[in-house]
Amino acid sequence: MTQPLLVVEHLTKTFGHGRTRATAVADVSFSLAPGGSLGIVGESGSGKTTTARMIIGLERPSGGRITVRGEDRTRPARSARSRRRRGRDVQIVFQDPYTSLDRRQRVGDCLAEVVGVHARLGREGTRKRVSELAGLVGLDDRQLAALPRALSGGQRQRVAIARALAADPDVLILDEAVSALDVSIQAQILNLLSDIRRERGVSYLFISHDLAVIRQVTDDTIVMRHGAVVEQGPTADVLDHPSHPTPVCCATASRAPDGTRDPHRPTLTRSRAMHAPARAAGPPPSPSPPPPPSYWPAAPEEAAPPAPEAPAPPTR
Amino acid sequence: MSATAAIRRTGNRGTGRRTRGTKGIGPSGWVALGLLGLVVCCALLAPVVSPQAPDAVDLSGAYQGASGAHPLGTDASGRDLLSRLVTGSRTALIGPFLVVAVSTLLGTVLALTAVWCGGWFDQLVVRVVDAVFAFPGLLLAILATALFGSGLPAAVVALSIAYVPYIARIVRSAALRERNLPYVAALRVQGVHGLRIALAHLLPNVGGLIVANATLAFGFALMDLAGLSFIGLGVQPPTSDWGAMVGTGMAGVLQQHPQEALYAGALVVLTVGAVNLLGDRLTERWEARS
Amino acid sequence: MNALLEVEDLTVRLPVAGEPRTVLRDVSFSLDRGGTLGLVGESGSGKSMTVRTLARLLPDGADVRGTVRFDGADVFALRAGALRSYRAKDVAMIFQDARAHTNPVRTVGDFLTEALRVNDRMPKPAARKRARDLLAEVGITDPERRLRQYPHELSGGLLQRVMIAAAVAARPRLVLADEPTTALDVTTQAEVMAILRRMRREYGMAMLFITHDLELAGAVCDETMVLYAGRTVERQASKRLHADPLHPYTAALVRARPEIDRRVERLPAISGHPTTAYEAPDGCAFAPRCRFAEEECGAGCRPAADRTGADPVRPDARTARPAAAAAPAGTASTEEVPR
Repeated sequence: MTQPLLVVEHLTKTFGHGRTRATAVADVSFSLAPGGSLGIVGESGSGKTTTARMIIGLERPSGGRITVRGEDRTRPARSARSRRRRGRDVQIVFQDPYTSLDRRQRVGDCLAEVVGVHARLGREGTRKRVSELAGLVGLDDRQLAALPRALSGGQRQRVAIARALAADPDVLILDEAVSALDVSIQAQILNLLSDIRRERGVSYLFISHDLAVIRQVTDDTIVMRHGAVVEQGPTADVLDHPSHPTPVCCATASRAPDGTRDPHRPTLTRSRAMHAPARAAGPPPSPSPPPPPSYWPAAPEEAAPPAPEAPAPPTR
Repeated sequence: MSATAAIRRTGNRGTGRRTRGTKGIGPSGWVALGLLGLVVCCALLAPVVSPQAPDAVDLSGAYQGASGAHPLGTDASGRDLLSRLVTGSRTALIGPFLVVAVSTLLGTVLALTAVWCGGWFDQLVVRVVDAVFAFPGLLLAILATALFGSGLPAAVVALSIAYVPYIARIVRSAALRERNLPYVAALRVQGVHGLRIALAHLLPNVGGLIVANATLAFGFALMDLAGLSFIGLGVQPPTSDWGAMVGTGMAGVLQQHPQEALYAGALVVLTVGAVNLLGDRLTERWEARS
Repeated sequence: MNALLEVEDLTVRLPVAGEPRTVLRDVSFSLDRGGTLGLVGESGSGKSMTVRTLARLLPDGADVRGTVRFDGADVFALRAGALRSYRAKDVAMIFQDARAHTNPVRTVGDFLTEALRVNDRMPKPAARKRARDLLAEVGITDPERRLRQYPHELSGGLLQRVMIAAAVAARPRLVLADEPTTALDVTTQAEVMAILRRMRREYGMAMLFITHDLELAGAVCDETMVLYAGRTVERQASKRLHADPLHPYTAALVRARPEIDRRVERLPAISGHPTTAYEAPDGCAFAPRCRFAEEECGAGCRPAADRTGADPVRPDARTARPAAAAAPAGTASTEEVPR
């Protein structure tokens, strides 16, 4: 067993104090092996993104420890220089391809700027590196000369991935990076990500609420709920044999009651809704550990299940 | 330019932006620019252009109508109106320009610093700005003249200070919105220096707003300075100034000789209008890029 | 015909930068009373524009050809008063971003009672009571407290329920649901869909359900219509759409989604990116991205593949449908299968 690349131990984050104090992340621990791909699944408000922001240094943990290759990274870097050094270890791609690029900066300039931050290559060297990165993510010269608004969502997300790869990081955090994309584009980007992982040996920390996507790109998965990890293990096990209410609910939400509708999916369908009348709502059944204080006052808020209705298939 | 325009056109995914920005400032923008150019030329070449000495008093020739010697007539002291208007364009331009330059620079720097530093510094800036904001600019100017004596410099300094909060507030809110966008976080994570993010990313993205506000402020400053001169706290006689001319011309209005106040007032209105129009077009052009 | 909504050859052009741009081209469909139709498409497909057209919420200068008939009446011929009543009583809309469609400084109670008091001239206490009942109906506990709260105090799922309550308040005959669950979590999505379904049944409303998610549409709607670049690609019973798509685009879309129970080496992605109606070439808009494109695809637009429940399968109407498309999804492991 090689030494893990990224180790997160007992990570905690609380916002506010006193009465308004809310726990976004509670005692989260996991590790990511070199070249591995770890998924973090959870609903919004489950603390996935806050966890990512702490790892990347945009948020300061209230407790716990983050180490990258044994180096402590718990506190956010103070200077631009140390941020730059850490940036070569961990990078991030955000969800919204529309706001994650400077709208006044040409795509090529955007990549060149970041390349210039990490290496002094001179004009020619920078240009070469930029076109190498562009080639890696499948962007051509015309797109490099364009402003972000001339690009589609998928193309912008390619730029964001190229920008993250400019630092040649060991870990790439993908925070819902394909959630905002059209289905046909989502597949392109997922393929691109698996190519990059194979070619460059980058490790992924893949945050998503979409179980099908998680299945496609990750080896291991942790499930978060109300800021805590409720399940952890190889992706296939977690998705196929969920042992905790959360994945159960996610899975039932995805399970089609009529196996007939699609013979190609024997157990689970990709359909992600409507068949389960509000199984997830409310606190988990009592045998499970009591839920930690949550960021959102979610449990009672979302309770109120509608009258349980037979999850009838859409027949006429 | 043409290449980018082509890409924009073919690649425009229905964002529905007008294309005028790519084509320049439009006819109305050019008219405004021409008008301002004329005023600037007058100001620069005032000694050459003005037909007579602006301060030459001729009491026997008060309130003359238009004539060959005085194309626009004379004022109560028999001074040539055209010459005074031409010379008056100098203070009318320099004063507001200085006010806008100083207040925009200070306001923008203050706003960007506040946004970038955040925390207590930001809060301090907000409080101070609000306090100054609550103080009417003209009142501040009157106070300043009481301290430094009346005259253009005092008025300019006072108005500059009075305008800083106005600019700072607007730029701050826009920059704050910008700073919270993911691309700024991405740049930070890459280790791009904060100063560079502020200058190369935040500033251009709020630039359209700054231009728009600067031109608006120019109009306000021109009016305010004219107003100060009108009540006798700005430009001092016998120096000619549009605002002061409206003031001294008031006496003429009561005596059926409205020319002085009318011409000066019209020039103020025209110039302010032209500046605002040009500002609108420039802002559109700026925004067209994003 | 007893169709509630009939749309015929709808073509919409919007002025962009002074020139008209096509956003919808020859879209036709009909919706029976109490029926459901899913409109599926990617960005730029014109699905949201269809909803806007139906509600006559198009921007100024929009050029609309074709007819939209609601209960026999031409929607585009409605005068101001009739139009108001059409929007207030006949159709209701539910949007993706509930937060953007509520006034942040008005309480939920104000929001819900406003329409009742203005349109139905209900006295305040009665409107209040009705609002309370509506909230209870959409499964919101403690409705009295919710009525006093502001939108920001409610979670996204809860707010979307409020929107549904507001939408059904006037007992409309048609609900236009524009991606009502896209912004929500998986589980919340399930709840909201369940409520929507129940309300629809109870009130006997017809629903036009707009989504980018083929499966969601399939699960919610009897029939599904797929749009691409402002044109109808195909329409058929949702049950068959998955297993037996008629058009290569639909087939590709089905296959491009990763599966929850299986991991494939490579996803059969569709190359290129979705085009808008304005950019689309003549002929089949999907042809440039299509693996099965032939010369004739570019020549002229084939009639949209239509296999609605009413008429039997017409094999001749099938467009160039490849055998591969009918093969079990996920078996093709390469992106480009040689033809």
